[in-house]
Amino acid sequence: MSDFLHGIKPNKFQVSSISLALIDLSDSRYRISREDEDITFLALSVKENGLTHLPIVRPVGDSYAVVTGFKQIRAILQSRDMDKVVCLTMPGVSEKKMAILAISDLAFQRPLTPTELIKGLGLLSRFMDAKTMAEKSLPIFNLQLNAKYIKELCIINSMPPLALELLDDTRLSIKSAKKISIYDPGLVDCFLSIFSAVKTSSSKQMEIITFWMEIAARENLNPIDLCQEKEIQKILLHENKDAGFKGNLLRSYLNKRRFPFLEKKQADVREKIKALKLGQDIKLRLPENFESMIYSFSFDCKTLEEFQSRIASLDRASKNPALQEILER
Amino acid sequence: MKITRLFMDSDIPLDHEVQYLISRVGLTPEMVKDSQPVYDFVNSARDPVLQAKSILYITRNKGAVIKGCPGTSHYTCCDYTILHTGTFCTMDCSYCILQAYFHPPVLQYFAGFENFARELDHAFSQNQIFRIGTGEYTDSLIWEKISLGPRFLVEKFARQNNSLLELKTKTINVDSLLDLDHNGKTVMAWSVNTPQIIRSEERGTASLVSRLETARKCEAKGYKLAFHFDPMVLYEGCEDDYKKVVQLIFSHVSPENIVWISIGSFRFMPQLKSVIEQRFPSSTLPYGEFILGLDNKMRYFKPLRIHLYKTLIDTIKEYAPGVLLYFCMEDQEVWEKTMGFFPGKEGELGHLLDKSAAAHCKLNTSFL
Repeated sequence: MSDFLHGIKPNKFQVSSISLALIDLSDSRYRISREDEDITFLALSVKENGLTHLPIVRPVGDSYAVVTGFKQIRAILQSRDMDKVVCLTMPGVSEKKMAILAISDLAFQRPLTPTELIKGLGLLSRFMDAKTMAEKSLPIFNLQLNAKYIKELCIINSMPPLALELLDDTRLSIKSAKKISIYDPGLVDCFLSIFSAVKTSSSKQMEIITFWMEIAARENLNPIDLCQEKEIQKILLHENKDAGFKGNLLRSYLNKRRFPFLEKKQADVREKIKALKLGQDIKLRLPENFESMIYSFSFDCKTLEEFQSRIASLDRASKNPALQEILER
Repeated sequence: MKITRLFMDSDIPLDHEVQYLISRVGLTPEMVKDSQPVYDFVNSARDPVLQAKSILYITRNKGAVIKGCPGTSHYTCCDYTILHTGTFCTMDCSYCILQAYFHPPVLQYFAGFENFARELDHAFSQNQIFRIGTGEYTDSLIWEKISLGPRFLVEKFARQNNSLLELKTKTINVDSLLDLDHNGKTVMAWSVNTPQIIRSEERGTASLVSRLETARKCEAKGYKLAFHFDPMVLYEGCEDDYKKVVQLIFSHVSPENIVWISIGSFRFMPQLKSVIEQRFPSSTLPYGEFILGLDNKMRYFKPLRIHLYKTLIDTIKEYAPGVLLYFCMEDQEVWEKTMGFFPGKEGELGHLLDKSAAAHCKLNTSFL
């Protein structure tokens, strides 16, 4: 018990049975975890086995704010078995200490999600600066954090709530959130709406953001206006609901627009390769970005007949004008 | 950029060269035992690159004084020789690779004429042609107004016959050199670009017209000339703008006095991109259609380079069919499609340039 309470002396806390009606679950000042986690099995467990550890609550006016144990209290409410719950209260313990308890309670049960980490830092930033948080990060967050990173995450915490939702849903990585956090609010909203519609890996999110901004710079456009363009809207509102599919569509569109000549060349050469009719067994590897002049052909074979067949295909291709066009670039 | 602080190695003797430099800078030097305080000061700034442009560090060249141009793999190099007289630059070009090349960049003036003289005498005693330039890690003439260095080099090269000195600049700082007896061994060279690029990307440099008027002055004093279209930048209307630059060059100077014209398009180490984005937020330079080249530098997509080069070369040929044109770091395809030939054998491009150097600067042709 003393470990869990982070060295708070026994005379500083009280064990009280508190009416559930007095516990205000909507008071989320100490909440860093999601509100919509599935607690069906926890409710069953609480019903059968009771609480494994006591929630901590703090009196606020006539009611109580939850510091730790949000899920347990929700589970009790869901099981509808009790109208009271045994909690710990800590009269005289500071709000700062409560915030630390709220974070470390979760951080030492399991690794914090990116959103929990960011919300935790946001909560703690009311009581200490980034340098102090960095110094105390191991015993509070179960993680070694540096002050620069903490400052960046605190900026993300000040982004619209949708950003944290997207982080939770892994539609927005911390790296991407950091990148868009420096933009004007209108542009931040624009990127959040994009990542609400598409789902890609972190590196592809970064590519989307980078190409988006570079296209706007190249074409002297306001990046927010780009979002309203018909082609972009068509992708974001595509009837196929799969966010991964939309992500690929968007990346492909942005890539074409960011590198128009390279994309056109690649499309032309793809057509010419088709015309060569090399079949599935012969591979033609193009020089990367057409910078080098070296093209390589390769094939596998198991028998002499297969070998002769591949050679015949190559011989036919060598007489095809499309090959000359490919090689003469 | 005004120099606001002067550092100097405490073991540098206060000879005429250094006293002259200090008196012209007009600041009392802060003596340092090594470079650490200078690096610390530069690194303490929010923008170390900008900070570095306002401090001068008088030191010695502790490495190679003369060395071959590093070039890069897969692209044809001209086998240039670099005389390492200093580092970094007071001007502020967005595309300058020196911003990302040095960690951190420091404006160093390498003192010690005797050191340079010794190394140059060694080169001058070789049975080969050298094309030697000081404009690789710095601009050749940024210190011309406050240092005896350029004068020393012009006079040093005047007294030999196997090497050419190329002073490459974006300044108009030539006054102390005009009346020297250069004996035709110094080539005054300007990096040129379109007025739009000079205005938007080359902070603190002389205008194109000023550069060309200065070139004309130098030509009148018997200096041979060179021009470097590098880095060429692609933007809407750039072809016409580059054509106008060519017209302007030949309305100022005569083709016969041009030893060579080099051509190269903007290419950069990938890490330069973030430097440009931070230091030049309104620049769109890094957002061209770049691909990763074979030397791991970003380059314009090759057909775009070829198209731009063709336009430029055709225009230059109209005015000066005999002038030697060459590419800085391009490959066989680019050479063949734009120049119609490729100096692909080892040393072939260097030899072509040596021949032009020998012909224009009266170098000893038996070394060719």
